[in-house]
Amino acid sequence: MAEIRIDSVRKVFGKFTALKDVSLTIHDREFMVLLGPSGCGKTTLLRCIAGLEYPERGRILIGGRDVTDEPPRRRQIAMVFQSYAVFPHLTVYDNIAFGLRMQKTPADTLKRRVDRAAELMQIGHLAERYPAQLSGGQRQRVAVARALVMEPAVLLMDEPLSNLDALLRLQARAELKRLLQEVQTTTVYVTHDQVEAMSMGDRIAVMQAGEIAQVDVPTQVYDDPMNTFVGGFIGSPPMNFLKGMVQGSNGASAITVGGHALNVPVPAKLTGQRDVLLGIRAESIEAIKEPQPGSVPARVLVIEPLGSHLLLTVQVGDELAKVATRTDFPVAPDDTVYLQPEAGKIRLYDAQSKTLVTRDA
Amino acid sequence: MTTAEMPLNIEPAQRSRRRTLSRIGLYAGIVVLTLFMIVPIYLIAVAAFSPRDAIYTYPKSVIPNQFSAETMQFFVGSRGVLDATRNSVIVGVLALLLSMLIGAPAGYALARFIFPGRDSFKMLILTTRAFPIVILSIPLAVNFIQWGLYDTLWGVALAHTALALPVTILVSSSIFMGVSRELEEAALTLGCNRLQAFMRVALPLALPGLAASAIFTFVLSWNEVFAATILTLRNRTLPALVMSQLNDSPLYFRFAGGFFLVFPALIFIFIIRKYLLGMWGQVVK
Repeated sequence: MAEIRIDSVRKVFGKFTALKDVSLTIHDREFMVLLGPSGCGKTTLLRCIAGLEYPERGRILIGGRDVTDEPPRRRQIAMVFQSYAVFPHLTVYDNIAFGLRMQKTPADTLKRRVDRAAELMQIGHLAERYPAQLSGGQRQRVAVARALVMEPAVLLMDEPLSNLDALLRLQARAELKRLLQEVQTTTVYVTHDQVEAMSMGDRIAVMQAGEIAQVDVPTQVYDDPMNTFVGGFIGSPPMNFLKGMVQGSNGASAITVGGHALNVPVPAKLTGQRDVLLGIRAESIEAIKEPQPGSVPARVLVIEPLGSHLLLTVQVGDELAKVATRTDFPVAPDDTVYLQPEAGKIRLYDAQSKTLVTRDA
Repeated sequence: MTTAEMPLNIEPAQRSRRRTLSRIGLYAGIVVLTLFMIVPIYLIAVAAFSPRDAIYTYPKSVIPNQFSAETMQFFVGSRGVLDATRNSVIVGVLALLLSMLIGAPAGYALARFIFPGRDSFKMLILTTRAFPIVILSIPLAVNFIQWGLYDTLWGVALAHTALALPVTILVSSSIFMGVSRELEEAALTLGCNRLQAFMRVALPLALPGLAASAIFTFVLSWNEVFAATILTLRNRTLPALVMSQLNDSPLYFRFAGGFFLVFPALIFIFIIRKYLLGMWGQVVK
């Protein structure tokens, strides 16, 4: 149970700056997900919190205590590794007991705590087995049990589900979420899987090239991406970004895409003429067969039936967009459809900086 | 149709014939190489367990017709042989311990840490083997006389350690590279300091491979003749003793000595065979 404060931490590997003065506060008992593509620095940040890497600059506080220069064993952390890092030469029981033995825990307490952790992860019956005799899913449970038994102030997880096959991952995700709700430890969870991040995190910190692009609750990150990178990374399919223009004339301004004016109000803070990117999710666009005021024509290129909906890839001017429609929407390749964006769902991004200017009104 | 199909029908047959031929070639090569290694050892063994006069009979029969431990008894009973055997074992164990104490940590450092000059250091280790022991041993003997190490088992053990170290360092570095770094990091997060993480996780996992490398050192020391001959006078190791008496001894004595030297080495190599293959064939788990 502890708050983690990361204060302008910089980590450099040779010529590569993995973390560019990252600051982040993780509240007590919060489940924070670090999300980003590979090489964005999320694992490095986690390892800095663990004490497996030491930052060149900045401070790290756990529970108000400055641990920047402390080794991992003095940080009250426990970590689940991507490869699980279960000790091959020890039985499941000895793996889980390893940390408690290092703390010289009395034998009766040790046995009670190890048994309880093994029970919690439903691996009690495997206690005498060696890791080589376990499946990937079971090894992952051993790794989590070995971390939880320490009753750490902070639980760190580095892509703990990425080595499981798809079906098992789905099941393990829900289990892990329930488990962590029970133990209520401050948790930092690294993943590159945006679905995992959305479904598990109290908050998500999206990282990009050694910086944190956005920290917010999952729905907010999904609805209001701070820049086009976040919008493009989160969601499947990613957010559409279409070139548009805001044109003001005599107080009445309009947003146009490819010369077609949209039927959406222009936020007051946008005045004059400027290039923008319109960010909109596939499910926030309605496709209709007949033109209506404020709709934009598009040519259908690909139709993908996905069971719950159809995913259309359409061409708007010279750009591609994804549109989700009902499964009974009558459409064939090369048809022309008309796109009607849902009111309140368009986000406007600056064409140069790619950062959020404003939502539509 | 038929003309188009014909080459398709012929090709697999040709291919399989070619494959069979190359198989035969491969196995023939294996047989020749194996015979090349095994025939001398076999002949030595046969000679060592034949009666003395049987050695001088020609033509030799491939299968020994008489078994006799007489020759071996004569060899083992000769003056100095038992002492020399004891010396050989002591020197071998000392060389093994020294090379492990120096080589394993050096290998660990090479496997785990990136430091300036790491690659050149690796090359340098190998170049120590480029100096023939023949050239080194005379100055070595002079120094050992000055240091009081001449004609001692420690002196020979040191020389053998120096000979074994390059292999020990490189092999143990490859063993430690096979032990995942994350395992040690997991130990660090579970309350270990660096030394404890090494002792409790990396070392136990590397132990089988390290043991194989240690036995390798022992065999090297057991078989080493030159340094042992130059650096000792009375405290001879077994190969040095056999070597020094070779010219004055009867043929059956040489065969018995040869067998006595070859046999333990063979057994050790058989024991560690699995690990050597594991080391060079794939990553040690």
